[in-house]
Amino acid sequence: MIRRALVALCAMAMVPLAACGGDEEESILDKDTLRIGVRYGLTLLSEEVDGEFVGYEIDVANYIAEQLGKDVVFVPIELDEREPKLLSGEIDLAIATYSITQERKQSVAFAGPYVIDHFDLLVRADNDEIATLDDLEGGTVCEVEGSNAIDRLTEEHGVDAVIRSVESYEECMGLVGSGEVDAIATDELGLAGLALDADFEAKLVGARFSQERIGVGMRPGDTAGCEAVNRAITEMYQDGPDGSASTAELLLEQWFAGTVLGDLSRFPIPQFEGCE
Amino acid sequence: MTALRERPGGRGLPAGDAAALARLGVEPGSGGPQTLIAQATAVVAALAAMFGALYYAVSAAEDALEVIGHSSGPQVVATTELYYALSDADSQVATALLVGGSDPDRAEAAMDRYEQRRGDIAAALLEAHRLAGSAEAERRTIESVMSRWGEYQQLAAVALLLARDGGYASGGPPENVLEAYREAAELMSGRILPQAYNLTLENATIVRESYDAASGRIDAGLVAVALTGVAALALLVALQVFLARGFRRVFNPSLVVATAVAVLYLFTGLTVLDTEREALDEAKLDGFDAVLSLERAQAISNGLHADRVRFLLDAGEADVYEQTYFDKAQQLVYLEAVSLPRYQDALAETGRGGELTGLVGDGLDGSGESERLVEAYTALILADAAMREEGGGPSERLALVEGARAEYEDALDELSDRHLERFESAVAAGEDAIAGFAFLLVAAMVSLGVFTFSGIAPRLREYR
Repeated sequence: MIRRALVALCAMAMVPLAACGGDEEESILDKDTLRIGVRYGLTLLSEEVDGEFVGYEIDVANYIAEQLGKDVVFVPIELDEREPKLLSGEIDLAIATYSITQERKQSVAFAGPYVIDHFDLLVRADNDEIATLDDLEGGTVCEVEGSNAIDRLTEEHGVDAVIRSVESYEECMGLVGSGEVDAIATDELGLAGLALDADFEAKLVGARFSQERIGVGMRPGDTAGCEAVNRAITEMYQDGPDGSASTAELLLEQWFAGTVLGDLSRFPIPQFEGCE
Repeated sequence: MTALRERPGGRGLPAGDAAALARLGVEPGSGGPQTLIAQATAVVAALAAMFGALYYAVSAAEDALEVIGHSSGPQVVATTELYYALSDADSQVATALLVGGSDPDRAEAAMDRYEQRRGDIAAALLEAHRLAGSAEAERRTIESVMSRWGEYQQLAAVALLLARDGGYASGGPPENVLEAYREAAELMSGRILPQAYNLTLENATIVRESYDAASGRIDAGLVAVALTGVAALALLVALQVFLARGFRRVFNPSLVVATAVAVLYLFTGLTVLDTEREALDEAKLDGFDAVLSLERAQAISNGLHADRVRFLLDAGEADVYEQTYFDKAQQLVYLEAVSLPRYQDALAETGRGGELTGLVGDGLDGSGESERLVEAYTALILADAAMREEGGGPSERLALVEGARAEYEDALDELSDRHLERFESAVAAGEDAIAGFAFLLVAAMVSLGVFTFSGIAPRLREYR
């Protein structure tokens, strides 16, 4: 009872805050401005054009921030910076092609997912040899450090391919264009943008070998913040009046209609991971 | 209690008497009836503040118990039942299509169960809609599930009709049947089930919010009750000292009773609040959270089974369904593993003993039921592993896990019921502890006011 009374006293600010200890996690809900970590240089998803960030993920980030009533500062980050920058507090949210895995959940928290993506393979359009995952056996696949696509491919699906690790997708695309590597493995939303930018004709194999639930990375412990983000995403997927398309459908349509992705209606409503 | 003098204030005492009183520490009273009334009013105000704080905290507990015990708490159970019924209805359609004409009895049993589930779903949707009350977003989601469920039934009917006309006996359903079913399955797994599941989580959010708010109010209430209670007691004592000194009465019976009653209520109030706090903690942290984990585990386990059926049914997408199966298994019981086979190995090694995390892990409480659940889960995953190695038709392979699946679901149900009982009894205990308390508070406040003023009334008369 004494401890509870002390907590209550702290809550009522009747004793100096220093006496209350700092173990209480700060919530994103207490901030006026959210620093959102986003990828950069990903066509259609997240890129900087004339000093402004644009793309599907940027729109999702803006929508969520607007629902929460917060201002946004975008912080461009690398794949392998997502976790450290979240944990160090440099960014408040990571909306950066961050797929939820049970393994990642051991160190960071996730709201969402806000979209269900699939891993697929991008190859040259004139490549007829690779039609399924198994055709990659003995071939070469390009990987960007920090992505989990290659783990899915080699560990989960047991594909025995040569892995070429580089630092950026542009590099990968150059290698596929020149024929040095056979394929790029990453999520299809990312591949749609890469295919659009390619200086060669590219296509998706359609292997869709993994389902990726793309979520909002958060610091662990902020349950209220995580739940508020989930509510924003729920709203995003809520049909418009008279059964018109939801914001989520409109955003997918706006960015990915007419790309290699094809039919967009197959994108499901995400089942949330749940906030712990 | 013995009257030394009749006149108030001790004014006009013989010098010797005054000196004698001074030696005894008794000073002549100062001020007039206003001082007395002001002091009594301060006592009553402090008591009113104490009772106000008590009422504030107790009503917070009442509100929270109402939300946790009677609206959003049960809604969590209602929506997972909805999820379960929807997902099972889909499994039955898939099973009927899978066995086709090869096993008419099994196909018929599946169709019977599908019909039964349709009834359950209608009831669960109505119940969820009722419990949603005026929560607008929630109602919209439920209405959306309703209309999509209608769409699903039409699509499933087409697939079932094509299957009957096709009359295939073994080797799995033909492409046109699969095509028709795929649309229904996508609607179920891609729209309906996620919405139903998110509805469960939304209700869990409402429960957490009201628990947090009530906890804060009870904690603040505890402090406020203690502070105002001590202040009221101090003022009561001060009033008696004032009377004793000013009027040379050692005890004032009314004020003594008032003090005793105030002490009693202060003590009772703090005890009741502490009991409420504990009942609320038990209902939320031990009961509700475990119920929620296991209800979610039931929903995810259903999805796990659906992924298994799809893995067998749809060879083209088998890899994806194996991965989603693996992801769900890790959500149920988390073990560090990079692939399903490694997970199976890791589970076989650590299945018994050791702290487990994940939705199933979070619901374990060291009971016999918990032990049974862990064993049943391990057995199910291993039976599934063996099934994946087997050749043969999909329905024969599926039959290999049916026993383990039934045992696992039963064990999950049993443990979930155990937590549900605990949750319900904690809510009931919390409600019992404060039943009629609000009325008692009013009665106590009135009687204390009466005692205080009746305590000073004779002295006031002395001023006349």
